[in-house]
Amino acid sequence: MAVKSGIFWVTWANAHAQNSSRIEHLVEPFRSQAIAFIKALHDAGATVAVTATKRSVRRAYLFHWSWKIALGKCKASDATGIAGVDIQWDHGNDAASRTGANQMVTGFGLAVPPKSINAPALTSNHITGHAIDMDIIWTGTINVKDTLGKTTAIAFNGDVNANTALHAVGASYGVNKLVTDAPHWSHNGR
Amino acid sequence: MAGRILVLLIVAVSCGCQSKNSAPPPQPPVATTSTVTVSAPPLEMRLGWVTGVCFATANKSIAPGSAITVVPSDEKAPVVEGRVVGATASDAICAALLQDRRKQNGSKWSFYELKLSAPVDLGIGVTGDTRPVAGGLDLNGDGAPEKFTQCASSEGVWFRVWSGPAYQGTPLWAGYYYLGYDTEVTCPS
Repeated sequence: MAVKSGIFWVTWANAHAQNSSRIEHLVEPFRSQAIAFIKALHDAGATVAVTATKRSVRRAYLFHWSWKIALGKCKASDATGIAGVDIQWDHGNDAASRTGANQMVTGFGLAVPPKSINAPALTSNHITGHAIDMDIIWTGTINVKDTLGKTTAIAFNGDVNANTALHAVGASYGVNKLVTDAPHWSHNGR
Repeated sequence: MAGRILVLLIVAVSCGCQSKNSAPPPQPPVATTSTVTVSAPPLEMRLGWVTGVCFATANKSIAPGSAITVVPSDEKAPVVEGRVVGATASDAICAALLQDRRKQNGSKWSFYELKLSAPVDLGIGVTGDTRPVAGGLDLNGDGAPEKFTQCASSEGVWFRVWSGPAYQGTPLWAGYYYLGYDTEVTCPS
């Protein structure tokens, strides 16, 4: 039996639709590529802290539609369904539907910038298991081997988005930097 | 305020100052110079981003009761005044500390609860004395108002302060709020 949108679904998602920070949840070949890149970084003396890998498609679904309905970007009846999430977005009237969705936006801590037109995405490299968020830290300069065994000296740069030498080594493993979001690497740089 | 200005210092402003012991700070690099008075800390220690009643800043030691001015991301909303209640690690106060984003945001920023004169959704906060001028706030002492912007990248929100035209050149300050979910990009390329 469907459960109406509301705070229930925040609790539900936190228990049943969690995102992962485990590398083994990435898909091949990106998983092996990420593991190899991280090993090269470890071998060179860097500290790598993985904070996100595969994100839950069901969690993304709840983010997307709660955001759109709460902000009045669509009617509750417009929401599509997804397997494993028996949610009732339409409460029978617009005000109640928006109230339920808004409870979820607040509970999930979704950002609502002024003039927002773009809802949280329904799909992404994280959702398909092709992206990893990680902090890579070291002191001074380290020598990192690329996938061919060639060593590159890389100085630490507090702005990882600007550390093109690091990006090049990552790319040799098939792990490509997205330069707008500091922790984000993926199979295609997006 | 102007009478208290003793000397202008040129200081190097670097995102690298945001955390001495943690992960790389957000990009893009901020301006290489800014002006401050001897009575105020550097801009990167005064500025931060605001979500609701939560202030995220590189400054690890803001005293409770400190004054803060918040420029809401909604351009039509007026500037909001308030006070720092105190440091917090609560995800009920700071959405940036929710499970999906705590590691990323918590390793780079210090968080404070605010008491504000009006609700704010997203915005940029400035602690200490601010200098109102026609059209906004002057943070670098050049007599002209700075421009405050906010936009979304793939999985975060960028807050920036510009001394010149927005999205041209290097911002005076930049702060990145990691959301922990995927969004559509609205930042100019």
